[in-house]
Amino acid sequence: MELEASIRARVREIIASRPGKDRAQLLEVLHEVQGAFQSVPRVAAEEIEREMGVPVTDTYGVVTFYDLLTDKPTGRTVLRICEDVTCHLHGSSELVAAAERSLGPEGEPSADGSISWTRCACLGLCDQAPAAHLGGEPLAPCTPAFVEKAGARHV
Amino acid sequence: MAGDFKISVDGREVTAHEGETILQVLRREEVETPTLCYHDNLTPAKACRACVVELKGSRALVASCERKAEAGMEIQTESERVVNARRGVFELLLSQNDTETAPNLVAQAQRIGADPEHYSGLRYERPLYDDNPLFVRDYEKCILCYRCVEACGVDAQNTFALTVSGRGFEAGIAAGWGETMPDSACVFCGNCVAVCPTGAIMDRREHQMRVQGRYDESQMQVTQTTCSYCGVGCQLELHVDQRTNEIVKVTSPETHPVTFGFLCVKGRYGYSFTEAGRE
Amino acid sequence: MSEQVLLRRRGKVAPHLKDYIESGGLEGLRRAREMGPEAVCRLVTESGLNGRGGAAFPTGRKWDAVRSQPEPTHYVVLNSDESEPGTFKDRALIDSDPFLVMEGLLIAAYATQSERIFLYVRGEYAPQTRLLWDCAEELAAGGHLKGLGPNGSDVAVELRRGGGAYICGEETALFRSIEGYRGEPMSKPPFPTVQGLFRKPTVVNNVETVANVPDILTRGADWYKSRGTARSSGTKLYSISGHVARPDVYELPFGAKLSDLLELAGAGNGKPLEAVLLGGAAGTFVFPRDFDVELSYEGAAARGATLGSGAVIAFAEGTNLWQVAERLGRFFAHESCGQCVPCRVGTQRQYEILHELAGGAGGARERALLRSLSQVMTDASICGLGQTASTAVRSLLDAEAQGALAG
Repeated sequence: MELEASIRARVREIIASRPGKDRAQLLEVLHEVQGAFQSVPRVAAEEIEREMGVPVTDTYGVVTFYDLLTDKPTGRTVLRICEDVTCHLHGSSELVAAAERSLGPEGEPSADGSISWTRCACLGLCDQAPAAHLGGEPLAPCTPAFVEKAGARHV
Repeated sequence: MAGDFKISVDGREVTAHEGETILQVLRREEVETPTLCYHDNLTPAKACRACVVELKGSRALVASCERKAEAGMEIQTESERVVNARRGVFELLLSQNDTETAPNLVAQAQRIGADPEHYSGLRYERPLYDDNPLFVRDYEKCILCYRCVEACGVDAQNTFALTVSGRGFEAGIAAGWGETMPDSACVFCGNCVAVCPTGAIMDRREHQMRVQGRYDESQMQVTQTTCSYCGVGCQLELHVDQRTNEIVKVTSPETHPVTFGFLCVKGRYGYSFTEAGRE
Repeated sequence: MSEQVLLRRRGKVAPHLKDYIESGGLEGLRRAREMGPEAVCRLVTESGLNGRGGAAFPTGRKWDAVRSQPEPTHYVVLNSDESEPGTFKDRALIDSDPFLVMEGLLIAAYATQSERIFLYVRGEYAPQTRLLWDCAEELAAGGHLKGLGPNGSDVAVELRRGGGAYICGEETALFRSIEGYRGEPMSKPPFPTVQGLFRKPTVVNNVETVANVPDILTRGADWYKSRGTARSSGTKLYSISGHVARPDVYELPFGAKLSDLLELAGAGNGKPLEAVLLGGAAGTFVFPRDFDVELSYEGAAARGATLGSGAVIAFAEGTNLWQVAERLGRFFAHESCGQCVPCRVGTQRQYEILHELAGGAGGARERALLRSLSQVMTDASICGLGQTASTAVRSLLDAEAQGALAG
């Protein structure tokens, strides 16, 4: 209950920091919520409905539409591994294999909640393939050794 | 008439009225046009693409349900591209959906010669949601026509209990936060049931009868009446199983000037008093 | 290496307004203010500048269409949602010269008499988002947004980070995304210049497109047209990756040959190439017999290819192109918004068939199926994603039928 109240308070702060409460602020608000809680929980959507008038179910539709937003918890840091054409030519499947080995199943946070990993679409780092993102920042070229190191540090 | 103009359909000159869609013109001219997501009382979702036509000057085909007719338009409804695209739409749906309760879809598919075996591959595998006493959701039958979302939203009910969720092949209809109907904002008006073209959302009583093999369309008798709950005057159609004299479901005519086919929970589901005292 | 225009400050100038101005920056905006909105639109039209996002629509005409709308509220949107596999030129351009992009945008806002600029930057481009936003704030603090809007009002700048969806590069989906909805494309017409963002006349420009504008203002349309071909003015940025020694962004005048670009990047690393994918995931495979293709909109079209966003992915001899196509198929299936049947189900079916072919299975029947599916998706999909999701596959089928594929 306390946790829920603190989430609601934080969501209200995020909304208040925007220039308006119109629906056009929604995507930015959701980015902030995702950043704060590693997912967009239902209570956040309830608060968004109360403050901004966006129905809970509409927020659900939006959250499930975008790859960078999730309704399911992720790790505090997310490792995203590009699997598109250029990165595939440069061995992205080895990165994926390393992640499966050292970080566990795709999308599932580690036991301490510090990290999760996922495959993703082209990150626009093809000149540095194989590319990955760690916590939203570029990590390219990425190596299986790095993925394993990330695993060793976090799991 | 003022505001009338001419367009050409398959080489034939026909009259269109200001503000009409191409589909409206085609229907008046009795040019057979398949439709799935289109509904007379809802915003065109232009999602199924069954009604596409070829418009001169447009690279891609256009959805006739959405596109307004304009003076001088030259439209083809029987060109190879149109025939191929429409057949493709039905073949893709047949490769994805359970069409058991979608006779209208199946009939149209047969009429245009769609081959159910043309495509194979992953079919929709989704759970059946039997989470409330009034209706059942079977999303293996859902063709994602957007009608239920629109009816639940600004087009009729303004309840906002339904959304399209996910993306691509994973996209589907979700209630609330991807949860049960009772947990969502649903008020159980059943207007989603009324507009569903494939039986993916179905009144629970009909669903149960179908599961038990008791549902027989030929035994249904429709009785017209006026709803007795309030003074609005909604017209009801009671679908009564003649064998048991039991109401199976309640609808309202889409052409009725008060309801346009939409009802509230009382009108659609508040009929159990008619069964009071029965064994 | 030929003359660098867009990339001339790359690695040379720190992203501070003072340095930018000292190296000639903001001169284009000053010139624009002298000329007035209508003359700016005319000049940009005369320059022959075409949109660099892939569709190559004449930029000046787009601007003028918005400028002259009776509806008084206009918007400018920077489409920096670069998500086409193999494309990273906008990233490199923002990294090398973010003020050039911002200056071009301010000129666009002035020319179209827009009250607000939206920077829509893909959510995966955090460093570039920071760069652009810092630049916008510096420009605002320096008073450079003053008087650019309608009737001498100040223009406002707003930032939107994309949510991770390729489809939001499609302009109507981009509007929905900014407005706070799922990025599902709308039908055109109405076109964005008439009813765009918030149903108001809107210009959407690619990053590279607006970066061309300041020089057009300072050096004129004739100077601009002196680079490139008769129908493709100026220079173009290419993102080249894959089996190349020097993957990078290269700037070449339109009219250069694909083989020139491949040589610059050290394509094949000494080994011959099997093919390149030109124009990104929605582009076409080009085989060695066509490497002399002229890189211009008309040159590419003459060979049945497209420049698209200028992405080039090179594949060394022996690469299984059906496996490449499978990756493309999976990309489109993942990125389809799911709205219309031909794209939602079609991209999934295409991926499944490509998966079979990539594994060495499948024969004539699967190939015929791909072709008929391609026709359905191309003709009946709502937007460009579904309409072009099979372009590369079709080019591969054609090449195979003509015996251009090794193995």
